[in-house]
Amino acid sequence: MEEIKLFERGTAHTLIPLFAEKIHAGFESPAADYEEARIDLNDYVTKYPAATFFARVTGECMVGSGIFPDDLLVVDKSLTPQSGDIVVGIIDNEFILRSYYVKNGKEYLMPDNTYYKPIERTETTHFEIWGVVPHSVLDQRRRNSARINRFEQLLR
Amino acid sequence: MLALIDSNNFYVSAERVFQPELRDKAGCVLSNNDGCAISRSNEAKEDLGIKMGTPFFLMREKQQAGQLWWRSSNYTLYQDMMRRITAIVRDTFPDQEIYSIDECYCDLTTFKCHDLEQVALKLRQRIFQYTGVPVCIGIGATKTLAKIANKIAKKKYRETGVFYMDSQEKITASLKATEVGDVWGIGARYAQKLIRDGVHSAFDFINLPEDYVLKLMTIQGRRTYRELRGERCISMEYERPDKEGISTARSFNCMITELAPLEEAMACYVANAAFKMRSQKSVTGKLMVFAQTSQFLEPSERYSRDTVIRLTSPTNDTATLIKEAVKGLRRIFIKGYRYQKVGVELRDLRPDTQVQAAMFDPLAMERKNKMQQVLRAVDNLNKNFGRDTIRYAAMGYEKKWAMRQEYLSRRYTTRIEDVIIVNAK
Repeated sequence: MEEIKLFERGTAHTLIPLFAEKIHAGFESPAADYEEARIDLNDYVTKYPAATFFARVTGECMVGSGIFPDDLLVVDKSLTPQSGDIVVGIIDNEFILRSYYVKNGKEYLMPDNTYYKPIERTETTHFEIWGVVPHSVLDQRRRNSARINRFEQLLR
Repeated sequence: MLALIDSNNFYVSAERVFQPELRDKAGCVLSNNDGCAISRSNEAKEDLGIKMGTPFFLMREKQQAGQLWWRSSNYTLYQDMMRRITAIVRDTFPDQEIYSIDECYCDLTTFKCHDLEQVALKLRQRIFQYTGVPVCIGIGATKTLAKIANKIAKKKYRETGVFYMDSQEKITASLKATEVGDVWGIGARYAQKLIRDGVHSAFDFINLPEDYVLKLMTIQGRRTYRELRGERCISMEYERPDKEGISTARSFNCMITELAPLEEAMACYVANAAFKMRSQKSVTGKLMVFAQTSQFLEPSERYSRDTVIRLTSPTNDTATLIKEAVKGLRRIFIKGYRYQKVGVELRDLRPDTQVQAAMFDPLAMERKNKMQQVLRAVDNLNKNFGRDTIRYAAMGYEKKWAMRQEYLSRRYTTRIEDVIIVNAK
């Protein structure tokens, strides 16, 4: 349910808790004047809903940035990539997840993995930035078994 | 000044945002039932000569040879992309009329800026970056002129995508370059008459005497004439009035002779229309159902009939509407014909607040409230988990008759299972 709500970005999800019960004559709720809108995760993860898309990760090359396979990514196309950002790019007609760097006017994409070399943007190795990833959603419970394994190993 | 913002090959462009492999290759989006091309990439238009409405079977060879890609129409995706684009436009030009799924008009009268062209260029760039969909912007004094400016932006200024008709010279040159039949509001029949009278371009047209235009083309024609001369006659429509009737009708993928599948299809269309009606908070007092064969059959095999059902009290309840619509269908169904289409139209719509309460029957009132709660829950489930998650038994399961949509892409922006996959390998 939580995940589906993320998609339906809109005013309907800014839930405002109204006091629906009848208020008995005599005592007004002392909290009535302190009502606020509930926290909406959408406000936190997206600056510009009309330009925000979602994506699913496959592969492990961004584990160093805490992004695991099957994680959900928030992709904001309104952001201009800055050096160090994680971005969704397109190389050879495929969406790829990499980190982005600018140095001496040159642009690079790089996996978060020491075995890989950065790719420089040139005439021949063309890449496109599709959007910037400001947040990722990790299902912590899916990682339970990995943690348990580590725990068992340490006990041994 | 008014601006018309129009997405280029909108359906094709929307598909390409999420399927980069479709870029730079000739492609098209097919109509309902995968019948013919309804949106074409520039490559498909220019290199392969595919036209609006080119039938599926004429393109099959090219598709099989790998020269052309195609997709079924994914209206869920297009609708969402349209909502994004209009939201971005609104941030720059707040006075906006959504004219169709890929066009919106903006009134720039109150817009205080010396350089509208720069603003439009920036907006176009932003829409492309934020959504991946290319648009063109035409600016002119009236809706009809903005439409012409937009066409010119598309044809002549493909790189920048913006054309601002800000001087009399530009207007004159544009009208001279526009064929009279391409003017918004001049239909093919009038265009023929005009051409016969030696009126070829929009410029020729505005130099006709006004009386002549009025005589030949009635008030509608005069409106277009005045609009082309820079006088605003077609105003902005900000609030769409609620639809007068809501209809759902679709052709089957094959001919149907039996009543049972027709009833199933009817139930599905009614459920669909009732859902739309509830989302605009209306109830219906009357429904019209129809059944017909293909019009291309031999005359003796052709059949088409409709019937109107008046409801005892206005309702928005799908179950009641299905029951009534099926009754109506049974009334007009004649065995022996091969049916190609059935449909329903909900008429006599009114706000659901206007429904007269059953004042003297508190029990009925309570039943009604409970039913409304159920309907709301069903609508929410179907909205969140996909259409037909909860459905009425009358709607059937297999939908053997349903529209062909064999080349449908995913619902990348509205369903979590369908989002793009990003490779981190």
